[in-house]
Amino acid sequence: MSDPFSMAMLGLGGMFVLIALHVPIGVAMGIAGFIGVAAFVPVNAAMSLFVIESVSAIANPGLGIVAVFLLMGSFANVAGLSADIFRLAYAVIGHWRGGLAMATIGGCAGFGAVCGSSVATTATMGRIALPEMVKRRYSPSFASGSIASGGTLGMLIPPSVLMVLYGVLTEQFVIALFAAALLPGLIAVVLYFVAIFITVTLKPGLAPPGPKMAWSERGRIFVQSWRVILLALAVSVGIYSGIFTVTEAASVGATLAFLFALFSGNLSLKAFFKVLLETAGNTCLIYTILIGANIFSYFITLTQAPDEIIGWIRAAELAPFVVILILIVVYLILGSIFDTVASMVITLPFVFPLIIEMGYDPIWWGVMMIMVMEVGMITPPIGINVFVLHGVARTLTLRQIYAGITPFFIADVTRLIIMAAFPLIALAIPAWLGFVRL
Amino acid sequence: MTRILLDSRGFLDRMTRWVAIVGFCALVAVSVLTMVDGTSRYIGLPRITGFTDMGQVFFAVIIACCFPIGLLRNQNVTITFVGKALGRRGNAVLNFFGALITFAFFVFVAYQFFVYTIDVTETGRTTRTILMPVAPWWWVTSAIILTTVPVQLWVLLARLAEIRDPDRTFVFEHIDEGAGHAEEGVVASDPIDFSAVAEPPPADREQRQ
Repeated sequence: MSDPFSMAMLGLGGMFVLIALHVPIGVAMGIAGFIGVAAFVPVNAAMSLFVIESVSAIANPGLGIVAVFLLMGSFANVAGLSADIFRLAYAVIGHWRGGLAMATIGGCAGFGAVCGSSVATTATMGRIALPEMVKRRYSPSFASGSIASGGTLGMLIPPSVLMVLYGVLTEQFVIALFAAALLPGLIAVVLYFVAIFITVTLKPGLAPPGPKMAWSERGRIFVQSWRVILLALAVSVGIYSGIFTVTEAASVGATLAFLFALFSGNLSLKAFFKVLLETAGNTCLIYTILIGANIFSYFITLTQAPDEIIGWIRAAELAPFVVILILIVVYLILGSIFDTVASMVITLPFVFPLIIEMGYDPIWWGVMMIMVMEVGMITPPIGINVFVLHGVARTLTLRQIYAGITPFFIADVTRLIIMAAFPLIALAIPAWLGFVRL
Repeated sequence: MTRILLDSRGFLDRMTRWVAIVGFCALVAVSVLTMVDGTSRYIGLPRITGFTDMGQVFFAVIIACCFPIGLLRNQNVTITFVGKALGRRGNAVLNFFGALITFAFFVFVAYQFFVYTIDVTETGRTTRTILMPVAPWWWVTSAIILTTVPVQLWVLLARLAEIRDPDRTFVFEHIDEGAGHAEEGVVASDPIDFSAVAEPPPADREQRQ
């Protein structure tokens, strides 16, 4: 058992045993990594990893923007921006058959642009859109399926917390990742619309059409939604035009969201403290995983296990596309049973060198991996978005929600195939902006 | 022990809340200052000297503030399906084990932070641009990280008490029903009452029956 690769597998197994024994994922990675490193170097040197990795994580302003984006999402929620974006989408397409479900998808994509978290998007839109859809006599199963699936867009539509983490961990330009996610995000929305259209055409009883809104009323709602439009534009245009750095854009977003919340009248002192505590809790969760993952990654790098895996794949003469297909299946399974941040950071030390070795673009893979994991968030057995929605609407059974997800799942698989076959879709905008070379 | 646990819970709750509130108020302030500094470039206002320098030490203090409350409120992602299969006492034993390993982890981290801070103090390290001494900031950061040790010790003792009395919960549960899966710490609450909105359509009513 003294060869490094066996040590890596032992460390990985030990980490999974700790996780199964109720040790938090970040802590399990840190302890398994520490014990593994201690097998190679003196214990004192291994102990110093606890501070080296902690300091490099908490004193890194590049990672600090994760907390700022979380803050922006919480303030945006208090300001009622999620309701604004849903009303806006509803005003435009709500009168179509299935239009309310499409408005929900649009609302999720829009809220994703100011929130960056799939779970938060699902929970928020569940509270806003689900009662509306039930009131309009939508099938609760279909309605909840559209929200759980739409919620996954929060992780893909920039700014995305997961993309920031991927960018920092793999030393990729975060703005290039954001740019790469734009077209796939748009395709996701369009394919969800197509899925809704086909479903309601086949079963019209699932989603009756709503009353058509007068143009004057639509205009009024558009004007009323100026806050969310301004926030999304300030962050997106600020980032892509180069006016702001990502840190500055996140700060602009958080400050604007704070001001909107303040002037909305919803930000009492109690609500303000609640936002701060919520952000602190979520930040703790992400940083604990990051610190643990960094220690574990150090151990994996020491064992040179990724090089050995690459050697095996070369020897097996597997086509790169087959390897990508296997990785997609693995991430789909991981996404359906694990936390997304944890899934990403546990696997990156093994997978990232493989992607580079096969000649794939790391920016494309970042978007691809996040898309696969978001599909995992609505896939049984756990599919976290489904559980969050079940928590919001307890009268809905998990079976009902999963049944409602089916058309959207098919749309997701279609999107994954398109994206895997045509990497140019993700890379076109970053290349146009000069971030990657084709 | 039960009484001591319950009495100290209130104190720890208040302490960790205030540490997080002060730290994340600073995050709001840093965000506002970053926005002002960023926009100053375009409107001809003077930039904040050494703001990037300060950012590094500010972020260390701010992020450190999230750990005590995160631990007390059980905010970390934990997979609990094995414990659920083992029944209440088995679940309580595994919760205790998880808390014990977490305690060891944060003891190591806190100890190493002080080793690092002493080193920073002795070498008189400063920031690159404005040459601001960083040691005082790292002492604050280390002190905040140190509070995670008594907080997690409390969680450990509470988990021990739960083994003796598995029907009782002492720790702040912040885990949803997703097999103990609390991604990004968001917990769904305030369930929607469908009956308060409308009767479900007939097709769905049949499905339920």
